[in-house]
Amino acid sequence: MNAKIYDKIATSIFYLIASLIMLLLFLIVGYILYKGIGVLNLKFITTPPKFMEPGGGVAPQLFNSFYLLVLSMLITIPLGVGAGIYMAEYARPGRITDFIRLCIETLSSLPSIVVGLFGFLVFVNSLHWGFSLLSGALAITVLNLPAMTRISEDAIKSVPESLKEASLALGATKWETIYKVILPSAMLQLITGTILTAGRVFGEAAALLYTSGMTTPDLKFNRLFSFSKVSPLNPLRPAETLSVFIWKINSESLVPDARQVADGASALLIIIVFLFNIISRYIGKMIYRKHTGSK
Amino acid sequence: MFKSHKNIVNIFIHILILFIILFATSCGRSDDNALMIMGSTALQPLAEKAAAMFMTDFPESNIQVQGGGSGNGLTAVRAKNAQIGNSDIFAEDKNGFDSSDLIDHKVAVVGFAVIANQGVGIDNVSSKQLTDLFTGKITNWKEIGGNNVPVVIVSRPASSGTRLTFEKYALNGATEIAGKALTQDSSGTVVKTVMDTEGAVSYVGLTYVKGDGSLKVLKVDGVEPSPENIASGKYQIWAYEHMYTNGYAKGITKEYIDYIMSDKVKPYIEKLDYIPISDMKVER
Repeated sequence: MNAKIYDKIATSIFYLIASLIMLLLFLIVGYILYKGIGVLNLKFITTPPKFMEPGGGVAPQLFNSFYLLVLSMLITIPLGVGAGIYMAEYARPGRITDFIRLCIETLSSLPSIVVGLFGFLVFVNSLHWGFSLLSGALAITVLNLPAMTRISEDAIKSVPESLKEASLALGATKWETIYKVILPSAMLQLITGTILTAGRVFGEAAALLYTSGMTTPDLKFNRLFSFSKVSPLNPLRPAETLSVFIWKINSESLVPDARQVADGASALLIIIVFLFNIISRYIGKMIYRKHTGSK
Repeated sequence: MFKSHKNIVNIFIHILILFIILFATSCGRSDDNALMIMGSTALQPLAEKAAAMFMTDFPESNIQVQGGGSGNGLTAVRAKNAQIGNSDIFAEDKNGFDSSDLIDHKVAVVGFAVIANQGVGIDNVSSKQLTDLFTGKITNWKEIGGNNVPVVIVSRPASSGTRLTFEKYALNGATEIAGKALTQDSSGTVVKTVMDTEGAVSYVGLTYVKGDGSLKVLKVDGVEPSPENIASGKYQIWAYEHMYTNGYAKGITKEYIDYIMSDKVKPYIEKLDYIPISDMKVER
């Protein structure tokens, strides 16, 4: 009798904890969306912010967020997947591997503002790049690399040993095995993991405050692909992202509708992060279906 | 399976090459047309307005204005991280700072208002009461004739030019009480905090005081912080807005400074609640 009661209590406690977590999420997200959804419209997403008048938007900041994400992913993915392949396939268990693992884990627990200040000292000042997309992308890479490494390592390790053994038995070299057998099998996990990491990076603010700056030039989209210094694709220009913009508008802004703009930008940010998560699941399902031919 | 994975890698490599090309062509910072301005949040509105106007008149230029406070502005311009450092204080007045390389350009005068939350219940403080409020001697507004609300001081960091000016001219050199004030990094957050916190009192550049009555402006010794009172010297809490350059201003830096002191920007100096230096009848 006692055991059954304890079982019921434990079950209800677990259900309670799960509901608390869901409630917390709904409260926070719901509040932000409730306050900001009224501000979101096409004009908000396509016009730049105004100086001291109401009615500004977040178009350049949104573009900067996406572009910065793409730039940093371009650097992180090769490095991260490479490191993951090394840790999973080539590293022998021993002191050196343990040390490398320790380094990676320490890197992942660095506070993002410290990484941002490091970026400020090295990229912005010593290398004289100034506040730029490149400095921001490299600072974000430092933050993201451990996560990417872990994802790739797990993805590669989850490929069945028998697949690898069969490939080697057929005469393929180690690199051929990795490139042609293991990576395609791990592609599903790699892609979903990458997109989830991207969603996290999208909301990063502390590391970008002093690396990509708090201002953005007047972006002229009609000269997108020209080889000119005012092209929006120039990686050496300052680039305020959406999350930094939310911080700035709450602290230094003179527009009369600062509160509404901040609410709208926050709601937009949350919606985009949600979209990242949903898209990663969808792409994951699509790839799985393609590879295994099941429904 | 092989085909699909090859396509993804192919696309990836092509995008990589595209970015390398774009990167290579836009490499090399174009210093001639880029200008970075950092510093005082009190001067920031005027600097941003002038920058926007400048970039409209000269479309190839690229001027970025950031805040951070007068102290950061001075440090940045000396380390050449910014071409112009905005400051509410003279560089010589900054403690332990070697200002020998910096050249001063005064662009306007800014008045600082004492602001308080709507519920404090009084409209005027004497200089002595002001000093006592900020040094912690008065802890409740009812002690000076207001409502029964505890005093909450909202302050700025030690590097803020606004704060240094306030301590020098409003508190007669007394330092604000440490450890009891809410500290905010910029003029904008100070305004927000005072509006939202009962019993709050602080000080901010006149530009940030919106005329819609949501913020209470206190008179000091019966004198209102209006442009006329500041120009005549009746209201004492004001400072020059300095734009410092490292060495003599050249190129786009010089053009910008000349622009901001020209007649084109002059109407905006008054519109943004600064005072043109030419209107001042007193000097410091």
